[in-house]
Amino acid sequence: MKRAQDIGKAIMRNTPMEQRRAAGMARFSGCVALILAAGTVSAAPPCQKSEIRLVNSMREIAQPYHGNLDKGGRMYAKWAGLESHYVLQLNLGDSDKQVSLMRGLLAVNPKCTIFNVEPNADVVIKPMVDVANRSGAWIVTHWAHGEGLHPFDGNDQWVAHVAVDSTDAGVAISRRLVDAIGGKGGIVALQGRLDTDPARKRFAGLQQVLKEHPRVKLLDQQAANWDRTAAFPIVQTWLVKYHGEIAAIWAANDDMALGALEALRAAGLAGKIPIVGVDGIPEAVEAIGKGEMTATVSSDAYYQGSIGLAMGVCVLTGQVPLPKFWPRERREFYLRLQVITKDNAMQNRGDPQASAYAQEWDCANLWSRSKGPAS
Amino acid sequence: MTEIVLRVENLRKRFAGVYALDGVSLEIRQREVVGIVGENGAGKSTLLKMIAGILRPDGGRIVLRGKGLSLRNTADAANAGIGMVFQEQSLLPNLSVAENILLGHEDAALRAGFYDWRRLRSLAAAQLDKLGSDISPSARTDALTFAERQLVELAKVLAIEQRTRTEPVVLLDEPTSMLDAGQIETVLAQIERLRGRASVVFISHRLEEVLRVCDRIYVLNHGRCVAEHDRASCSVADLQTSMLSHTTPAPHAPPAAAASKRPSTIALSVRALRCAGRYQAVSFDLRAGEVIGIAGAEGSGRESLCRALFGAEAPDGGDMLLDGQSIRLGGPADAVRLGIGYVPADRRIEGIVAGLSVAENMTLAQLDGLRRGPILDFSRERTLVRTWIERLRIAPASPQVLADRLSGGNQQKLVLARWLVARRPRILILDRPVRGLDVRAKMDMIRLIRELAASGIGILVIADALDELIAMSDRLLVMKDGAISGRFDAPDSLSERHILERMV
Amino acid sequence: MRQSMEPQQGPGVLRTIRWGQWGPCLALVVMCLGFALAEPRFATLDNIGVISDRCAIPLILSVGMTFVVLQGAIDLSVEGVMAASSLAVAMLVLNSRTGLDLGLFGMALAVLAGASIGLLNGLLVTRLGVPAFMATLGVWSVAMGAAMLLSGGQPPLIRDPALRAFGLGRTFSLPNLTIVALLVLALGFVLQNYTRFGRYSVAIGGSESLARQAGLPIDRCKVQAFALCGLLAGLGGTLESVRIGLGHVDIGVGQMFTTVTAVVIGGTSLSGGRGGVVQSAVGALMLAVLANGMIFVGISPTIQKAVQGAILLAVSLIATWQLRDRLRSVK
Repeated sequence: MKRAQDIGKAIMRNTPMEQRRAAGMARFSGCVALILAAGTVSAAPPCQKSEIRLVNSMREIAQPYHGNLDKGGRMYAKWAGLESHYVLQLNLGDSDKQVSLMRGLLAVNPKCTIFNVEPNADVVIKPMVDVANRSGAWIVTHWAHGEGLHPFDGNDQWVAHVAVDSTDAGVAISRRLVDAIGGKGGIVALQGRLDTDPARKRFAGLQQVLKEHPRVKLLDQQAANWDRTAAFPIVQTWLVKYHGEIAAIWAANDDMALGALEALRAAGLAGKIPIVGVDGIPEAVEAIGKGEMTATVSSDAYYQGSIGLAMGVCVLTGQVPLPKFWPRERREFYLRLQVITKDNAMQNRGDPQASAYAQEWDCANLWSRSKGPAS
Repeated sequence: MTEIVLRVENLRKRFAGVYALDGVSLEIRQREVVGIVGENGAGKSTLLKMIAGILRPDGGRIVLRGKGLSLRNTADAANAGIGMVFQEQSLLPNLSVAENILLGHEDAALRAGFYDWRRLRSLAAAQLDKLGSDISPSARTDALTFAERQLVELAKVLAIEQRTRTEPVVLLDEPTSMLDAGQIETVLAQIERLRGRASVVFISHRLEEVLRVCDRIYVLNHGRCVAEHDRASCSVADLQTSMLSHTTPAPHAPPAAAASKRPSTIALSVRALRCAGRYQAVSFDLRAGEVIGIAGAEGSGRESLCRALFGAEAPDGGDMLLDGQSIRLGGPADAVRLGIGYVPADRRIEGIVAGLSVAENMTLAQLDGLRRGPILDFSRERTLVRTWIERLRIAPASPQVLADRLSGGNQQKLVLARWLVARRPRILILDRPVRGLDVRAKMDMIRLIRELAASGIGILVIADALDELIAMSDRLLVMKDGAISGRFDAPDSLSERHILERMV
Repeated sequence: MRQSMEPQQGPGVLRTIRWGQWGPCLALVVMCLGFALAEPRFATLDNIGVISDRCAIPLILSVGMTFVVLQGAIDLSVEGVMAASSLAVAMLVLNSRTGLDLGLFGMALAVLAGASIGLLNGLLVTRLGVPAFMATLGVWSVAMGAAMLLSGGQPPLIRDPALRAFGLGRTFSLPNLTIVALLVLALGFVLQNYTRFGRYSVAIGGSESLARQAGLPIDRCKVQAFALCGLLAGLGGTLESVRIGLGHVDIGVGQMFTTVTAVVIGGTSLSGGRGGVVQSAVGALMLAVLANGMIFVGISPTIQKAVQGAILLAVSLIATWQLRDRLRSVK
């Protein structure tokens, strides 16, 4: 083992990123192989399958994005034969509640419970990780956490953090938007809740693209708080204020984009002005297919709602080593996002089947959608 | 002999353990005007309110045209043909005059459930015309003056005429006390007119008025009916005599504690204090250690005056001097700070805090003095509270008892104690301190007031029963219609008759 | 000689202007002028259409709320009612989840659902004696819960073309929803000034004890007011859904605050007995103008809330200035 580590270190010092990753993977697979081989001799897996509990902790269920998170989780649970072991926790926008719900559940059998968390706000992750560390439960988090906090800094119960590069998402849709208007014109932007990380990062992505295209002008921006009922009157007002000047509409999420679409529809302009959003909800995909929206970006809610659970199950059934042995890029990585435009809209419609994800839930493939380390 | 329309048999009503009405029987005949007189607190209003359906009797019956009545509210009474013009106003302030006159009976002005305002207004105007009033039916009720609202109340009662087949019974509770001479004439003329088609019960403290319009007069005294007079054979003096006769012995006050006539300092000086519509040109001096009683009937302005002296109302002009310094009270807090205390008339509403214990009530105004740093010093509070419970003989003697469990008299003592605990006030203003108390409690209270005066506090007292007032006071002021109509300096020479003459 | 304690009127000239009545209108005019001067395009016909569209639903809601507030109570459940009726209509008309296609009848049923929730409020308050604040708070949660159950993570999309066209379209160049709002306002005006329900509500708010003493049917009026508020909240939720195209639990988010604010700054007092539907409509209009104007003038979204709050405080102050009294307790 030590020999392998030395070799690994030597390799890492001299080769570029890709090769380092390959080397890391080799080392890791080596470990896995060792463990699998040693499985019969060494200690039994941490948990019996019947003891495992799968928990999805999210804000609400009313938005399609969250609905799909839940659906993804249930799909996985069924596929893994743990359908009755699945629990959903909703905090309805209350960060304190998200933490206290977690604590409440861990009164019983914490060591075999896996939490897959969509945090209500960045600040909620530290307390939840603390709870996991103290109780022996396992936690996988998504989106973004606070500065200076990392799974590999001794947080052994924090299996992984699946980061989403919101700036990347913002850049991706902004590029599509700019292309759709031929690189020049006036645009307006609908921002999400200004105190959240995705809102700020996505908007930063837009600003980055705007710098590259000086002939595209940002006429105005307002906060519609992720809500289509708030976006509607704002866009209505803009259509009057900037009559004829608006070439395209940028929205930080699909719900607001769809609200903007309805406002265009009321003015008879549906389909005539490009709109982009983020999330990849079915309604947006349908609109893209019809040509009423231009592009959206999906982190794939079904995937996000299930991958954390899959990772946890793989650890608890002993099929992968404990997270503290994982390399950093396995503990914290960026999720590969999918841009949906008219070209691939058809493929992305409707509810997916479990078979579409089965490969990625497989313990040997858990990081297939990783885009690289996130720290 | 005309038939009896309304008979009241042995009617009783209790308030907080004391009988406001203690077995009153009287009868009202067809097309007659019956007057009811008596001192303040004799029970006149209470009697009328029971006939009008506002209060439920605790004993006795009301019989209308031979049938017993059980009234739940004024609507029931109106349906039976009984209407009352209230002293404290029953009109709904937010509605128009027309709506108030026809309240509950708008059907005549409804078309398919919707108001026909023109019809409503004209129906109301018809009633107002009977009174010769030019009040607009579409005026908002709370924009009217008191006198105008009084007329609207009368119109509302008259509206009953249109609805009932039988002749109505009209109850008038001091309708003239707030009116000027011209308006009074109108009301009296109306009563004369009503006589031809209704039975009227008329309360007033102005005995000349009563003798003018009433056929028969009942005199109430301390909740009982003590006399019945015929107009023909009665004079003002006769009425006064009946009003003042006592069946219970007057509370004896201990001889005014060594009322040595050495001149003491003037604690409070009032100069030409006035408030439009309430009182005018009031001037007097209150010395330290002196008790001044203020007598007056409804509308005399004395309650308003006392509220102004406490800062609860702002006078329009005039001066107040406390120990020679001119003061301006911005509110009750200023008064308290300067050492002026006020014990209100209705202790339940304005005095004790029902949910708190005796101890808590007592120390309410003086939490500051009981602090040690930011925390209340409970041992000091306890000592203080016990001292006062003893001195005032409050029963039960436990400081933890909830204040609203105490009897009326003890509650009264409690409210007084609050002011004494706080800080020795310079001036105390007591509004009807012995109202509703039984004989023993009254005596206690009067003794207490005398003791307080002896300790140097200047006290102003308002009371209704003249004998009580005389027992409590060193000097007397009589107010009538907003002005001081009489000053009596020597207690011994005070006679109730003299005072009564000045009051009414 | 006056004995009663009446609020002292302010001195002289100020009293005659009766700020409480004309203040909000004046404020509205001043606001409009201000925005129009800052940005000429604010004053175009198109924008007036946008403003009227924006205030249509709040106006409908505030008409319902006015009656409840006139009586001296409050209804906190409007957001829940909107959510429930939104889900109801989205599942009853042609949609992406259920196979039903009830069209206008479906809308009517959803509105009726709102009315029944309002009825529940009324019964809780009158029969069980629960204070309106608590009763409606509880019903808010219950209705919201029902809506969430129906929604289940996949909000039903409304696909009925006629209804969508109605929600987004215009008639005689007025937005349809505005027309509905004006009709509701007219209905409210008639109810308030020409029926016993309306007049008694005002009386109850002025003095419930006197009204009870006079034998007015207080309980019946209260139930009617809550039922009406629920009905109009249901109508609001239904219309909003039809406009935006889906049944959504969050469809009413923020409406409770907006509605109560509109009612209060319009001049209807929360302690009851004063105000009316027209005043509330002015309040709703004021809020819509404010929100719209702030976008026109380009006030940064981060400080919009603060600006909104400051203006509302100022208007409230002006509206209640004449009621200052030494011994008045402020609610």
